[in-house]
Amino acid sequence: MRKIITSISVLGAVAVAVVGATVAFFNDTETSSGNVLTAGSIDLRVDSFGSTRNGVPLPNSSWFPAVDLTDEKFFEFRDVKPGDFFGRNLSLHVDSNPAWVCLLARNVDDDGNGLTDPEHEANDPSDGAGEGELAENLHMLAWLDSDADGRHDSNEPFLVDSFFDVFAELAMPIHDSTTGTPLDPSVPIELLQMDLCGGAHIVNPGTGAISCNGNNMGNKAQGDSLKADLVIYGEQSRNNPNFKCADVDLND
Amino acid sequence: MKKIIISMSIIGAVAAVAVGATTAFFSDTETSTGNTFTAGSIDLKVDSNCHYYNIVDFDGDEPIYRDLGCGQVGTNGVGVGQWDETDLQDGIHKFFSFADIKPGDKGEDTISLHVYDNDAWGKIVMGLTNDLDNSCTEPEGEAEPLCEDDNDGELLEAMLPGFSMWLDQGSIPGFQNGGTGTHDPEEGDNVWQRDNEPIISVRGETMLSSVLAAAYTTAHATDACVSPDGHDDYGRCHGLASDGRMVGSTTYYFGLAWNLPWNTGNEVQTDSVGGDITFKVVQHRNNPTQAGL
Repeated sequence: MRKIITSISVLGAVAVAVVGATVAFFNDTETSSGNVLTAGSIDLRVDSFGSTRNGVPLPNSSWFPAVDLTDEKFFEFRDVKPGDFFGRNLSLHVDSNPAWVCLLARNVDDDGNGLTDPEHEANDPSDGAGEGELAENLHMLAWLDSDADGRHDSNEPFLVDSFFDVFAELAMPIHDSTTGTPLDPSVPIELLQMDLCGGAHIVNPGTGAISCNGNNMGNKAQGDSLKADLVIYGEQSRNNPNFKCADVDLND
Repeated sequence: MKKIIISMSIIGAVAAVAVGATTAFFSDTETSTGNTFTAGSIDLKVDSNCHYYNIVDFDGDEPIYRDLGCGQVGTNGVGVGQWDETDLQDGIHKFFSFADIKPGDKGEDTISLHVYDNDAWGKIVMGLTNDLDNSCTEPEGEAEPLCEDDNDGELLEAMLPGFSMWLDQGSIPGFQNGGTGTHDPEEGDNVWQRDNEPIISVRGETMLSSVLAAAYTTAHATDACVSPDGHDDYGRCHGLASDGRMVGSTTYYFGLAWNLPWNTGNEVQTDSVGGDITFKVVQHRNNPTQAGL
């Protein structure tokens, strides 16, 4: 009896082994591991060597290294008089990807702040909110300052030459498909120079040097104020060959 | 033990007598030589042909794409998504490895599977499960206020509508593999023919038998396939069997396409999607239940 019991248990063991073996059909598995798709980034940062008033560098007007803008102001000037001129230098950076870059403005407030006596005499009819005359009396020129001297040279084309309502329709291409190539992250520094003049800039046709003539900025602008958010806007250039700053809608 | 030895010696004595007796008769001998059992093989090979497109211009509103190729060849000699049929090596054969995709980008891999000599059941496991936020850039944080470096990225959901896989069999059902009689230029052509090429899920597991059997049913309904077992000598319906097996030695093409839609926002910046893509096969013969997949 003992022998029989042993035989049965052996058969049982064999049966189990057979069951275990049935899942081991010939098979093969090929795995492609580590597949990854990573989105790139467009993160624009700005630093500045500073700003000037009538050619004199202003204290505490520069910042470095480049930051995402929070409360940095490009221009903050009180008591603007005819013939005053202001400069601001910016250096723009994209981290890793070429990008189109524009200078735009929004929230433009051209306020009269009430009529002063000279304004009244200059036939300024009213001077409430949105009725100021400063915007139309400021002239803005901007260019890429390729030799980083803070001055305009004849080989530096103007990106913007804005007279009336200086910021109202501002859609200035710094790099877009109308000006050429996108901002290249491998270029370590590229300076944008913006100059504002109370009156009108005069550009020397030979040297390209600019000066500010305040003659046509009349009394109507007295006491007026101009506020605007100046926006540096960057957008990917890849897949985007026809980008124009004029098409940017900041409300997107 | 002693008993067994005795038995053996008796048999030996009888045999000896018999040998002695045969010598005097007419005789003939028939010998079957070289009888062998050789185990068959189920060996899956995969190849891949990769495309990566950027928009370079517009024709009216229609983007014009250029294929930039899928990336540089690594030190191991294998380009991203670009190799002839091979066994896949861990970390070397990747269908995708793109570090810097942007809205408007798109790409495609044409993958082909080969199981040599023997019919097999197949399965595709799409394990694109890593959906990471990675770092949060400033513009990303504005678009996604709760952005953190976690596994709650937005790239997968942005890409899923455009992520697709299909049986790239072309306009003639089955796989002619450039065969002598029947040639299907749309087979394995990287392009999805909406009417003829069934879609395969890009998430989770797909039993190929369900895809191939359905393709057989469709093909058989319009114009009868000759062989339910899918062996049609690389003619019409070759590779499509009524039970959905993969027919041995046939090259099966699959298209795998992705894009990042143009209207995707900054919330996907630096996000990544990744994971494993696995193909499994198991023998068809003696295995009606597809055990082992």
